[in-house]
Amino acid sequence: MMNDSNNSDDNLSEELNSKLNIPSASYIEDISQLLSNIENGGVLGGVNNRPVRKHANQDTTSPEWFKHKKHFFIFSQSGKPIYSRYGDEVALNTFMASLSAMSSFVESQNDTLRYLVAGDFQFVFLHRPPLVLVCITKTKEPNSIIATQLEYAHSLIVSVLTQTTIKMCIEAKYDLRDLLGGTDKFIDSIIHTVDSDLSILLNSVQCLKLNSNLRNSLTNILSNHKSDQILFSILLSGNKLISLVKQKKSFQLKPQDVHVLMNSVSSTSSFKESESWIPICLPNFNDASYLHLYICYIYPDRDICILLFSAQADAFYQLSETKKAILKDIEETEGLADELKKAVQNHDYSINQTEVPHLLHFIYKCRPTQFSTYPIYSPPYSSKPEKKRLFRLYQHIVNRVNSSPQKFHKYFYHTSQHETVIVAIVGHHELYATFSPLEKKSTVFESFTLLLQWIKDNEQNLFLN
Amino acid sequence: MNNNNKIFQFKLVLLGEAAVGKSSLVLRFVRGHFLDYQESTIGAAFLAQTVCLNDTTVKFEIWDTAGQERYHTLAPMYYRGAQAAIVVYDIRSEDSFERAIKWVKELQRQGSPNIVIALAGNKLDLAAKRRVETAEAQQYAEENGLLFMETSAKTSQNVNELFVEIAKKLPKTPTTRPGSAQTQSPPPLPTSTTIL
Repeated sequence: MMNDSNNSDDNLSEELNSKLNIPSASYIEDISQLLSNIENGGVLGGVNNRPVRKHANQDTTSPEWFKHKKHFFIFSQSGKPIYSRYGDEVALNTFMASLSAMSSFVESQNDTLRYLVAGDFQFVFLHRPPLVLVCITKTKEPNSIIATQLEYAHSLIVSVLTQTTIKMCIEAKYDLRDLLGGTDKFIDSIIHTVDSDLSILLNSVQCLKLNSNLRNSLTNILSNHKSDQILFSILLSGNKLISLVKQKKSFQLKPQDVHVLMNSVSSTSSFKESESWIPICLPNFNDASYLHLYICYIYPDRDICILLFSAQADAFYQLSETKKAILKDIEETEGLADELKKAVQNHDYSINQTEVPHLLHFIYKCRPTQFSTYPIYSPPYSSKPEKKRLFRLYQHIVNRVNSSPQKFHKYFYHTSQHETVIVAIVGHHELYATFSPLEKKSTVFESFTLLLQWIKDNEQNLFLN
Repeated sequence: MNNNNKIFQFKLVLLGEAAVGKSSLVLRFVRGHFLDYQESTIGAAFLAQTVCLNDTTVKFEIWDTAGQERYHTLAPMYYRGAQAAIVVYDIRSEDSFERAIKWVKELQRQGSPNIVIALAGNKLDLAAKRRVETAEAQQYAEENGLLFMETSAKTSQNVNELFVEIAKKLPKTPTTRPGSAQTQSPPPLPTSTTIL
């Protein structure tokens, strides 16, 4: 019932439109030619020279290629292929050229192509000059949510090269893929993550549930080792934040940057083998230049990792010393290291722990801090398709309640065959709580109030303060 | 003077084209293991390992750099002040050998004046697909005063030997070391000792 997506829902594009002063989305009416191209297959043969990548030898001549539910393509404005989620991007040259032609055609009329629908497929375009990103999907997700996913893929590329380098490279007619060597797997990984990560869906960062005294001790230790060299000190485990200290209060670390960062760290297992020193650009912090990131797993078996950012390329030895001092302080605070390791192992919680009756699942975001928390999936969300179904439902509801940024819905009640989801969006938080569709409204409201109280009572442990 | 407990610390950098096996060589040397599919390095990794010679201990602080083109401009940051460098190529790839020669030239031009450079032809276990002849590389190394060995990180052939040869060749007079950046205390990761 909620799979229709109206273009005006899209905050992003609306913003873009208002900036460019152009009418709402444009459609290409006749795409039959493109579709017949898809059906008949392209002319190029597949060249498999990267056996480590799944589906790398597919292209428009392989029937399996058309069976993938969700394709992602990245190419330059002039149509040069840069990335394809499935298949070899060079073999998909002509296909991407067709996509590029569609987008250029609309552009030539001083308009921007954002979405189009063809049969079961949605096409979502994101223009980030000099790059164009396209998702073709039959997953029935809201367009604006897919646009956000494309944004993440774009941010990832910027994080590797910086926007300045991308522009220079394209202007010089240089093949961007030469500079991106080895980045495919990070794009693959972020595309996979945005399709299941609830904290990304809420534009937030998930915090590791941790006793507040423990967290304060850790944060104090990080603060004690602040220096002019260090812009941010971060302690994390997997994709969950344990602690974060900023050199200056005014520094903003946007959820998108944090996720791009976590993606790069967690998809490189060799970071566990050594200390690493990598250049990385945080697109929302400064997309023109690199920061230098010191990475060290202080407890590799628990995935606990320390990240120190510096603007100085030669700060490595100093940051390495800082890490040693931080680690020493952690080890010397009685019980801290053990408690931390234990907490990392047992931080996941289920709805049973909330003791809220009838509750099936929830997601919560603290709006001022952009931190989120949610329980692990428990029955009836045990199988992968059930989890995915709930995720897709949340996508539609998040899209619906945020459809107009000025006038979001304060309360939202959704009931369908499988579940009831009640949403409250107030100044301080967003809460989406899921119940069985058979529950009475009064029961749902009662439980909802109890859940809010539980979160309030546990706020100190659920979030960084 | 009793040199038995004398520890000399040197900065060593690995350079070479992407996917020639720089990280594999380092991990074989430092951790003693090998992965069939080693991820490409991002930025640079820092590791340490100690080599015991007869009467001295040499501690290597190793910078394992990424081979991708986008990191090339960062390379000077890692080889600046390095007393030793291993330039790696894949014996199956002439291109990687050409790239290695370019790295050697860059080091000779811009590296520390007395830097010890070793040229390593890696993937010796795949010699059946060899494209760079031993004699050719050997001759180039001799003409340029480089140490030379063909190595296999996979079988560990010549890996420790390579580091030992470098350790032997490095001057053991710390006070006169050029571009010494060795004021740091020992590296923080647990290091093991290879006794040879």
